[in-house]
Amino acid sequence: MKIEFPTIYLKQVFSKMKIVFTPDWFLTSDVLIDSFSFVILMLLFSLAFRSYKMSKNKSSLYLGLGFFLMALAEVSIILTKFVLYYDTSITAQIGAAIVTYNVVSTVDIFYYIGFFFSRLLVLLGLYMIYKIPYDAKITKDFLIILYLIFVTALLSNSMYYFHHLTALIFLASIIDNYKRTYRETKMKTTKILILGFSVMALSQVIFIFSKFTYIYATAQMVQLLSYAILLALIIQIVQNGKKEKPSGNNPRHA
Amino acid sequence: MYKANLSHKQMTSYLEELGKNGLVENFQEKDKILLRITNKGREFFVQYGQMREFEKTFGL
Repeated sequence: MKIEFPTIYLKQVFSKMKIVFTPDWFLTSDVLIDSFSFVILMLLFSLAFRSYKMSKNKSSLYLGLGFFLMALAEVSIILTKFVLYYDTSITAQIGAAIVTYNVVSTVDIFYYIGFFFSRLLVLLGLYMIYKIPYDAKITKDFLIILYLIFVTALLSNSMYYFHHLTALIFLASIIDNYKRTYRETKMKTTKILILGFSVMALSQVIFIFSKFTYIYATAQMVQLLSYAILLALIIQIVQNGKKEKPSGNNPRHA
Repeated sequence: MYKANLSHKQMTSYLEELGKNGLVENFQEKDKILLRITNKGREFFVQYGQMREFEKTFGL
């Protein structure tokens, strides 16, 4: 027998359990922001991968891999939220499970697995963006860091702010690296990159206090702004690359 | 050739390579043989520019 299960009930369950901090009025925007972030991260990945194909520079490949891991994290977040927020067949099955079995354990496991992977992938991605481009080799330290990232992602299921704090530390280190790059190159695009990551770091600070629904929505909006800045960066890189060098297109005597 | 600081021999080998990959082509105009960038070459030029811009931005 098919059990029809209203989504509103699930939302009530979540709000009671304080699993999801998203306010009801922000549910759709929430998923849209994550989708936008996914597109930007994939664009950065494709730019990095194209660079690698041309220059065979491993740093570009690893940087691209960092962005790709973050993009996968967004997929994990989107799928988890999509299934939990909206009335899908899986939601109905979870609903049936709630009625028949145990409320907390079924929803909990689904939620924790989805968000655990997203946290793990975000932190791994950020670490790769921070570390690998400057030291393009996998060392023993990498395994230790991998373990610590795993523990952090695991702990963040009960202490959500732990994840945002760790992401903030990685982002601060990334910003510091790019500041050094800017001092050497004085490139406008590097300045935009620093701005993008700084706004992303600010969003992590706000996320730390996201138990309050309005603050969660604010943090998401700040995160959206950071990805919009990264989109501006991509456009700038593509446009600058298209600029023709003077007298580069004239026929020459062979 | 002089601007790129290449010898004639080096230039010839590079042009052969570019021609083989379809990035440049020869064409005749009156009694002269001229060289021009193909559409594929122009596309490569744009992608190369974007790659350089990307790597410089990220300090790679």
